[in-house]
Amino acid sequence: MRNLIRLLALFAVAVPLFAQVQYSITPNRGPVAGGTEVTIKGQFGNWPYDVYFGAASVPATRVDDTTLRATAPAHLPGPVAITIFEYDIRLSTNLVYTFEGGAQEAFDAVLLPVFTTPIPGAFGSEFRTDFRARLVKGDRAEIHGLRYPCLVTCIQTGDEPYLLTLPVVDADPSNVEPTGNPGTFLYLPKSEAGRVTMNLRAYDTSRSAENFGTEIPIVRVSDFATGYDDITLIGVPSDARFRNTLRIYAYGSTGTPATVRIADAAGVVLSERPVTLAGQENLFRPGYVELSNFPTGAGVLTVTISVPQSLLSAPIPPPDRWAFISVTNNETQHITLITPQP
Amino acid sequence: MRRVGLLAVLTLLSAVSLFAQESPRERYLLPVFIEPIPGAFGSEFRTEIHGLNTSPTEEIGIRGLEIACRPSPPICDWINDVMVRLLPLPQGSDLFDYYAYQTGTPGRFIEVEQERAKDLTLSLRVYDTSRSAENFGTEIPIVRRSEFRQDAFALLGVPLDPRFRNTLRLYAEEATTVQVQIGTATHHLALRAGQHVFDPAYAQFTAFPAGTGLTNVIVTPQANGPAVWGFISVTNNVTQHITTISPQ
Repeated sequence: MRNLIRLLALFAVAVPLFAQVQYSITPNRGPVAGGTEVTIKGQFGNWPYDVYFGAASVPATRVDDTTLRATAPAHLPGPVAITIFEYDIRLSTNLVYTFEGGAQEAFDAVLLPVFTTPIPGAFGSEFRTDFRARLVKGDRAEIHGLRYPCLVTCIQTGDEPYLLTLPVVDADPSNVEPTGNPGTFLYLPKSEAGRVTMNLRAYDTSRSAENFGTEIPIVRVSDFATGYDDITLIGVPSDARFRNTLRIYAYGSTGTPATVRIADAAGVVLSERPVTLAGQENLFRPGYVELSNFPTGAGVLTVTISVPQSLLSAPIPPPDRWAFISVTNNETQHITLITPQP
Repeated sequence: MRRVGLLAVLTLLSAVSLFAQESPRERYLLPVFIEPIPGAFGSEFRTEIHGLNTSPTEEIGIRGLEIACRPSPPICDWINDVMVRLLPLPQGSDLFDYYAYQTGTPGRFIEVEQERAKDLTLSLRVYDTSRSAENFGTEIPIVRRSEFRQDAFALLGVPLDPRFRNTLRLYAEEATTVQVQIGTATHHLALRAGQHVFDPAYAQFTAFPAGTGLTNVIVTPQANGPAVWGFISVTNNVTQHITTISPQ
């Protein structure tokens, strides 16, 4: 009987000891630009605290045993998990904070048009993409949308791959996983504009002694065609020794029909093909369509991608668009790009 | 009478300045725009420009391009006059058909009226005539003035492999000096002034170290100096194939 009482007493002490601390956060939503001061209630000791909003961390101020204060960082839209680091101990909270608004309010989006895992090609070729990013100004910069091997504190939420913080992690092919299919969008906070230089290159591993590959432009979404503007690509060869692939990308959640018109140097339309450009599945994956089988033996071609003017009165405008043509030599597999310039 | 005459002259002068006021222009850099140059192993490098006016109604005047001109007066003044007018798309001809002299050194600025700029599509490519069966050459970016940088920029992943030769090319609107850091070595390069308004200030650097692996090149423009743009061409010594590395 006495033992039973002891056991019950021990249980009564142990339960609160191991009981999960209940946390709350107020407010639990705010704008993507960040700046919202939040109060987190729970149990806190005399340690330095950091609060992670999704993968982005900010320092927190301990007000008293039950209160932390922190300012939400800029973050891509959507709900994110709140994690607290008590010095180096991770505390899961079950709290969710929602960033509201459009990504464009606080972030510059850039497109990596080709960012894929190695692809085997003809004649033993294997195409790889090589992405690099470096900090050139300031002491840190964030890139949202890159996945890299996570060692300690990186946290993935929702669709977003880990947040890469330069120069804490340098982005190069040894540590960044290509996640495009074929392309991907990255997001850089507007408040950190001009801090990062990037480079993207496609190359054939089987011919790396013969050439260094082809630089792929990294395209700001602000350079995409908007509304009903056409995209025109000029000086496209129709020589049968080369194969052409047109790749079209969309930024926006709604898709759109489009027409691809191929004309010769005299303006005679040789082909007019309807395509459907899907909307984005998530913030990182662009809407995409590709087209090959270009006319051959017709001299220099002009390719125009148009959105039907009949959609002018549609309630939702078409997504912003960008496109390029890769011209690949059938024998050497060498790639030349034709992009909309300037 | 004298007062009326003076008033008339003043009115005329103000009218002239009113009509002389030109619309603002958009300026672009063609980084390489040169006549054919022979290279190693029988290669011959050419640059090819294409340009189309996509407006259905308005023509586009392009300044900075020099085309064949009458040998006797009135001699055309390509520095001050618009020598190339691209017709609207329905009657349009390609800029390629104007046979503009490719007299860049090696770059050339061109200008169009800002309000017409959105209708201009350009393409610039450098290729080796002796290898045109093997590849279609390399697209050269056409650079907006807004892409010139006053802050440092990096050119990433530059090979040190001796099978490739690297050339760093730097451009600005005025003569200036820049600091170039290649790995741990620092160099100071002077960009010589342009000869005329369409000739960019320019410097090039080829003394890259040879070794293995890749390096980064950091270009730092002079504080309060003109904005700078630059790129590196990586040329294979055997195939003469060119890859560009530009700030992105």
